[in-house]
Formats: sequence, C-alpha cells, structure tokens
Amino acid sequence: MKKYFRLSAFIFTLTSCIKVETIPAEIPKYAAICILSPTDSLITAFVVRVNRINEEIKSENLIVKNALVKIIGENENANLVYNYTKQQYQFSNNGFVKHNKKYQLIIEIPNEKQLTSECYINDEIEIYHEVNIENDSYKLDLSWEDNPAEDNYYTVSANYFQPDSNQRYMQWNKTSKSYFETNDLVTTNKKITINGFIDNISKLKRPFVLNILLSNIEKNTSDFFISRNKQYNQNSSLQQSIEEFIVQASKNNVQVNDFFERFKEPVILPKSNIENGLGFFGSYYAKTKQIIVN
Amino acid sequence: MQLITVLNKPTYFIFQVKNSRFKLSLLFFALLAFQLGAFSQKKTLHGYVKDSKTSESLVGVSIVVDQEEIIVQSNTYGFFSLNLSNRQSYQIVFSSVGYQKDTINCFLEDENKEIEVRLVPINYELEEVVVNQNLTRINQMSSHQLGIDEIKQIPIIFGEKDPIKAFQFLPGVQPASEGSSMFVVRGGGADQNLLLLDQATVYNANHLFGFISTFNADPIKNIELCKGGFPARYGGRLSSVLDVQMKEGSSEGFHGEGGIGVVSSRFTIEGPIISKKAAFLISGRRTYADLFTKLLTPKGFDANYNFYDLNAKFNVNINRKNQIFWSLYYGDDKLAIEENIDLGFAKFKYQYGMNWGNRTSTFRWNYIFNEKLFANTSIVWTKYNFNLNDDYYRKFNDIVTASNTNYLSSIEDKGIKTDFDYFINLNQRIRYGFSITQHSFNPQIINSKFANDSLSSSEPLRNFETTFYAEYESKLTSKLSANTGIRTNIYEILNKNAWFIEPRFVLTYQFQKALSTKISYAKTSQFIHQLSNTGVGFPTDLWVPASEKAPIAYAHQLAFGLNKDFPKSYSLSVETYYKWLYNIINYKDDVTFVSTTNEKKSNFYEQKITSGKGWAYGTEVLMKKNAGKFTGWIAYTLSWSIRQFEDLNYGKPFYSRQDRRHDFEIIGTYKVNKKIKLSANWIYTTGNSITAPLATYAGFAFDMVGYIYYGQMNAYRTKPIHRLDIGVQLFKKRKKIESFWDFSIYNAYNRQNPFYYSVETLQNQQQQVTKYLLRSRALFPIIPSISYNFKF
Repeated sequence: MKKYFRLSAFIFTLTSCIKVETIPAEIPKYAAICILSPTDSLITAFVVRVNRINEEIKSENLIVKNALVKIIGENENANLVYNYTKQQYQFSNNGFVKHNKKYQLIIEIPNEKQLTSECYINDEIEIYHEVNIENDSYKLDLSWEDNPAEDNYYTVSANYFQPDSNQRYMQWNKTSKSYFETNDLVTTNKKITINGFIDNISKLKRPFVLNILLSNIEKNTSDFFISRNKQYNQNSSLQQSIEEFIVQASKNNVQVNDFFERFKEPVILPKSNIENGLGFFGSYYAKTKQIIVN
Repeated sequence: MQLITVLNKPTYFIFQVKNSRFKLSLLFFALLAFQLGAFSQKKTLHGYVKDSKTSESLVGVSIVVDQEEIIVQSNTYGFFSLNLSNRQSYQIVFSSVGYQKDTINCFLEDENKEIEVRLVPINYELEEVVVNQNLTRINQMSSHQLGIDEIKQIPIIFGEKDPIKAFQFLPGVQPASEGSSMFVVRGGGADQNLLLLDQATVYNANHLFGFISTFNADPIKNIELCKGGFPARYGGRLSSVLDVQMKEGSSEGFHGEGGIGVVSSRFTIEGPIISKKAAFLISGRRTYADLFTKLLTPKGFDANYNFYDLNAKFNVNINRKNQIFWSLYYGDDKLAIEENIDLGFAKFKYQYGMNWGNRTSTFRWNYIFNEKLFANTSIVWTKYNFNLNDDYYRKFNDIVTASNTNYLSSIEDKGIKTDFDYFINLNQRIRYGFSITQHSFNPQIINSKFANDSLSSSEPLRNFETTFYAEYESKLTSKLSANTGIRTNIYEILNKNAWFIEPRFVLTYQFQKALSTKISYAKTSQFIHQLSNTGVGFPTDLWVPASEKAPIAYAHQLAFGLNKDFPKSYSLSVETYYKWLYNIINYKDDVTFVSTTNEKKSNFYEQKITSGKGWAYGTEVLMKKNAGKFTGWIAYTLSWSIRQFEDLNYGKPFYSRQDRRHDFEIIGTYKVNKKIKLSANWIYTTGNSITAPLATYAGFAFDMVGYIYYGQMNAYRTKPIHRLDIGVQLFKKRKKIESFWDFSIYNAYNRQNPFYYSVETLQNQQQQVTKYLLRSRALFPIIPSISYNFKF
C-alpha cells in the first residue's frame, strides 16, 4: 500500500514540476497618445490615468495635467504645454517634425515612473499621375515609389465637388471603394500603382478640382489605430452575448445583422510602444495633390 | 501509389490513391480473416452475453476465467469467445455494471460450444450493486463507463437525467461553461470530442442553447468515454470519444418507461415484433417550454420555443450467425417569434426563427464467421442542420414592403464500416476493420428575397475519409499485457489525399492481482474543424473541412496511470497525461462565425482563422465506491491547457478557455432503504480563463472609454465555480409498475457562479467619480425540480 501511495505522489510531483508561463498581473498606471506628422501644424499629446477595472477614480484625475511632456529630436527639443480647453499637451510644429528623423517622447509625472517611447518619421514620397478619358470614364493612374526599408501603410482618397451635390469621391478599381488602402495595392518592383475612375464624366460640370489625399502611416501606428477602431462593442463577453441574444429574441428585438455581429472575438490592441505605460507614440504624414479635370 | 509531397510533419504524407488500393485493402482484410480462422487448436466456448429480462446484448462484460487468471471482455455487440483446453473444467464468472454476477462451470468435450449467458439486472430493491471488477487488469486506460441507473441517480439541473452531464463529474472532463452540456476533455476543445450514437456522429448534441444534451437516458444501453490511450478502432477527433449505444429493444416482452418533469416529459416502449426473433424500441422526449412562453407573451406577440427527440431501434435475429439492427434518431430545436403591429394606417409583421437538429440512421449487420471471428458491418448516415430566418412585412399607404432572409448551414455524412473481432485464444485478440465516409459540408447558404439573389451562399464541399485499423491485444507475460494498434486515416483535401498514420499502444503491468500500472500513447488526427465563437455549443457553430490554411489537426498523448482495487468495492485510479496539439484553429481578432457579406467561396472562413499549437497536461485522481448502500466517487484533476498562435496574443502562449487548474467533485448516493435513496454532488472548479477588459483609457478628452486594455488573451481568471446539488428518490413498487418520485435541488446554497462578465460604468455625478466594474452574472440560481418516473 505504501508503495502505491508513493508512486501516486511521484506522479503528482511529475506534473507539478512543469513550468507554466504566468500572465503578468500588473497593469500600467498611465497612458499617452501622441502622433507626429511633418504635415500637421500642431503636435499634441494626450496623457491619461489608466482606469483599471473595479478601481474608483475621480473624473478630474483621469486626465493628467501636471506632467512634463518633452519630445526630443536629433537637433532640437519640444516642450509641450498643457492646454486646459483641449485637455491635451501642445506644441506648434514649425518645421520641428521632419522626414527621416527619429524622435523620443519623455513624459514625467510627479512621483511616478517616467514614460518613454521612440518613433521614426517616414521618408517623403513623390506622387506621379497619368490621366485618360475612355468611354465617358475619367481614368487616373497614381503611382509612387515605396521605400522597402520602411514598413508603410498607405491610404489614398480623391474628392471633388459638383454644384448640385456635396462632396463626391473617386472610385478605385478592384475595390469600388471611395478610398484605397495598402491591402488593395498592386506593387511592381517597389513601384505602387493604383487606378481610380469617375464614370459618366460628360454629365459632370467641368472643370473641377480633384483633391488627392495620400496618407503614409507608419505600419505599427496604423495597426494600433485600426485595432482601436475595431474595439467597438467589446464590453461584452461571449457568454453575455448569448444571454442578451436569448433575452432579445424573447422580446422580439433581434436583427439578423446584429445576431451575426454580436459574437465577434475581442480585439486585443497591439503592444504599446510606451515604456512603463500604455498608449502609442507613432507617426504619419499626409500628402495632397490637386488635379484640374477639364 | 505515387508520393507527391512530404510535409514537414511526422507521419503526414500526401499520396494520390489509385482505385486499386481500396480493392487490395479489402482483399488483404479478407485474407487476414480467412487465415486467422485457421489458427484454432483448442476448443472454443463462444456466444453472447445478454440481459435476462430483455435479451439485450451486453457490452464490456468482464469474463473471468479460472479464479482471475484470465480476464476478457465481451465486445461492443455482446459477443465473446474463449479458447479453452478441452477435457478440462473451468469456472467462468460474468459480471457487468448494473447486473448480478453469474458463474458457470464449464467442461468442454472435443467440440466447440456455443452458449448464451443471461445476466440478471439489479433492480431498485437489491441491496448490492455488482459492477465490473478487476478493472486494473483490463488493457485500456483513460476510459470511463457509467451505468444508466448510476446516471439516473445523479441530481442534474431541471431534474433532467443527462448522461453527458453525469460524465462531467469525472476527472479530466469538465463542462464548457456553467450549466452547459458541452464538455471539454483534458484541456482539448469541445469540438475535439467525437460523439457517437450507434456509430453515427452527432455533430451538435445540444438542446436549449447548450443547457440540455440530445441524449435522452431512457433508450440508452451503454455509454463509454475514452479520453486517452485510444484503441485503434477509435479515431477522428483529438481529445475524446463518447460512444453511446442505444438499447436494441426487448424480444422477451413489452417494457416501457417514462417520466414527467418540469422541462420535458419522455416515454419509451420496447417489445417483440416476432417473439424472440425481432424487436423494436421507440422513445420520445419533448419539452413544454412553448406552453409557458405562450402564456407569458403579450397580445400580438408570439414566442415559441420547443425541442424534442425521437429514438427508434429495430432488431431482427435472423439465425445464430446473423443479426441485423436499424437505429434512428431525430431531434430538433425550434425557436419562432412573430409580432404583429396594427397602427391603422400601417401594419407590420415580423417573423424571426431558428431551428436546428440532428438526424442519424445506422443499419448494422452482425455476422459470426466462426466461433472466433465476429464481424459487424454498418451503414451510417448523419445530418446536422441549422436554419435561421428573418421575415419582415410592412404595409403603409397601400404600399407593401417585404423582405426575407434565410440562413442555412449543414453537415451530412454517409458511410460504411466493417469491424472484425478475432479472439485468437485467451491471451490474444485482434480487432481490425475499415470505414469510408463521405462528408458533405454546406457551411453557409444565405437566401434573400429582398435582394432577389443568394450572393452570400458558399459552395458546398464534399470530402472522403477512409480509415483502416488493426488492434492487437495480448498477454505478453503473466504480469505484462499490451494493446497495440495502428490506424490509418486517408483524408481527401483539395482533391488530394492526405495520409495520417496513427500508432497506439497501452501497456499494463500487473504488480498484484488488484494493483496495476499502465502507460499509453496515442496519436490522433482530426480533419474537420468547428468554427465557434462561443465555445458552448451554440447551434450556429459551423463544421468545415481542413484546408490549406486550416490544416489537419493532430495530437500526441502520453499517459501514465495506476489502478488499485481495494476490498469492499473501493477502487482508486491515478493518471497523469501530457498532450501535444498541432494545427488547431482559432478565430482571429474581431471575426465572427458568419457574416452576411459576399462569401461565395467554399473556403470563405480561411481568412478568419489562424492555426497554432497547444499543449495540455495534468493529473487525475478517481476514488470510487462501487457497491453497497453508499456508492459514489471523489474525483480531482490538476491540469493546465495552453495555446500558442502566431497571429494571436503577440505570438506568445496563453491559457486556453479550457484551462482549469483544479477540478474537484464528490458524488454520493445513499440507499436508506428499499423506498428511499439520497444523492448529492458537490463540485469545485477553478474559474475559466477569459479575455475580459482589464482597464480602459481615454484617447482624447471626449472619448473617455476610448481604448480597452485586455492584457493578453484569456488573461482574466473568473471566480471559481462551486455548487451543491441534492436529490431524493422515493420508490414505489406495484405489481407491474415500478415508479419513483425524484426531488432535486440544483445549486442548493444558491452560489452565484459566473456565467459571464460584463463591464458596467458607475458614475457618481455629485462626487464626480467614475468606476468601471467587471461584474459577474450568474445564470442558474437555486433551482428545485420534481419529476415522476415509471417503468413497467
């Protein structure tokens, strides 16, 4: 009998000795959101207290107003000043943010660990275009050289105005969407070409101006904010969704689309690049081009 | 046979199979059967073990020859064969769960002998319950069998006697969520369990959104759960096989049983069609939830929910060598809601409905080639379908607007299988066989009358699954025995055939008569995946075949265990296991099982999923008291279950939904006297790992709950679950009818076990304080139930 229990104990020991990856329980106390762009006239940073679940926080303490927020460039520094109306830290960008440069964000909150992060401003690109009118359709080929050393995410849109309507958008081939994003792009030897079109061009009042907006977002920055946009309706757990669905069904308050959407998997934000905190320090720039359509 | 590719995985090859292979394989098996028939040297005692009251064949009867020197078991069809020396006396003891032990003295002359052993079932009035003894010596590990009477004694929610829920009280088996009839085994997903009803796969064994299983206990004869050390005859899923066998129908006389409960009522009748030749069994169960919902709903609003099951089985005993069976199952859940609004100038009608159900049919032919070789051939059909419809009608100023959307998904299998069981001698036994199954998948069909097309319908998929297996059970020495086997699965994927070779073995070493140690290894594979967000058996869960991005999943499981039988019917088993899972799938962030977008391609789901690996390990302890006034068990499981996907959780490992560190159950039944039986269960389980918001932070001043911080996947551990269920059964016996009242209380101390967590915002405007609460919500408070049950 003793032998038997010894053997049983041995089996238990075998199992208990296996190392298990533990999940960190510590949640950072502060978060910051700051996105740099050479094309923005104002640099803004938002510093907040992380509101942990089950923790009571006074509303006035949610936004951190007494932090020292600095952005350190390669040649000069920017000290951001808190704007009480906008509830954010600001600095006028008069050529401070430049392409192909690295920047460091430092946030000092009294008696707390310093929050730090780094970001890089992507290279500026040149946009080329070609125009064709065929079968009453205005066709625009846009192209630019992608820098393979960078991880870029592009979005492109082009709008124009007509007297009888509000803003209109050019359609993009393949997607029929009013904007183009990296996933839809066709790349040939670093060269990216996209095709837009406006049908029934003869029915439009010409000339008009086609305003092209190309945003080049640093990939990690775009991933973070795309994930954030997906974080809608994320307060529900799946089991909660089941119960709510049953309750709604019993009250005849179910829509098919809602039914399909409510069980979506939660979206976990990509890892924050802010040391000792949450949030994101990222970069992008926007490039505009105007084409007159005659 | 032409080798095309060797993928970067062990024993995973892709071949092109020519038609001749199948013919050759059949020839091989036929030759094997023929050659094995020539082995016979000694004389053979063979036959069936049956229930004395109904003539049901009995599965897994322990047959002990010569004071426990030799132990064999009757096969799945009640057949056994003992190769004994002639002109020698033997004492043979037959015992089985729920039956009285029977001893026969046997002396074989110079001829083989055929017998029919008829065991007497234990009824409510017997003091002693005899169960399988000498379990330590059987060449199988990690498996459990519960008698139907044993299952019926366990108090379950709503008083429903649910076999699946009874198995959830065993070590290594846990409910997928509180109250769910879906279960997880040894850290695997709920979709990794193969549920067989008379050899037909039941794809969704849930009623009432997963709270009641489709298995009505009355027509069931035998249930066995295998969670590791899989014999080669089982395959197709990574984690477990729940093999449910229906009763065959009594050829001895008419019998019936039934019950009236708070949720549903049921009735089963069985009897001979031709005395001792042919018999039938028909069983039905239906809920009356729709009667309550009709009473409670307001005027103009009609909500209707119900479920039902129909089981039927017919058997014909053609002659001593041939017997045929046909079993059927038909079950449905229906939810229909209708609302009519008449505003005078406008009329609205809105109809919404969901229905889902399983149908199975198994035609079986048992054939005895000779006294040692038994064969079973089955033709199996199974179908699961889910339908969702949404109709809208509006009449406004004589203008009618109407729309209709119909969503349908289904999976259908048609297959044939043959199993051979060859009893070489008392120390050796071979099982072998093959099966071919055609799977037809319709992952989603959406018809919309409003849009006048069916743009979103995906194309149906058809795949073949072919399996060969051979299993060799032998006693190597007086103390060492083995069950070794190999299973070959050929899966048709993308018009190519993928081969999986799965070695299996169980080695048993007998220290003493009542103490043994076992070690087992099994490789398993699974070529269909279930797409499920909920993980609790929602009817919308889709079954899809493996594909390039959702490759065939496979697992290795190693287990080591000790079994000890103690005096006074106590037994103890300790098992430790390690399971490696590969190519398991998971949804990516922000996706759901279906969508109404244009998804015409049959592999539309591929972009939504990611494949990865997992591992699970743990130790299980089961202490059981099998007989006497007090019966029951204590089960404890210490376990871990971890997953890793490149596209999830930053590529780092995380605890799976199935991860439960501690799982503890006490189940007890005490027979006070012939009229009263008391029972109680207490469970304690570590909370689930879920992905819940751990914090929020603002993105800008006017978006104060802008960003949600989850930490990692499944980083939040819910509150532990514990609960006490109690029950009393009051028996009464009249001349021809036995009946009992069953009173039970589920969750007797009203523990608020979490079913889900929600985030609530508390804002005190005066003090200007904000608090985000992660609040648990319980679904099942204390629930008393009563049912009346009878048997004749």
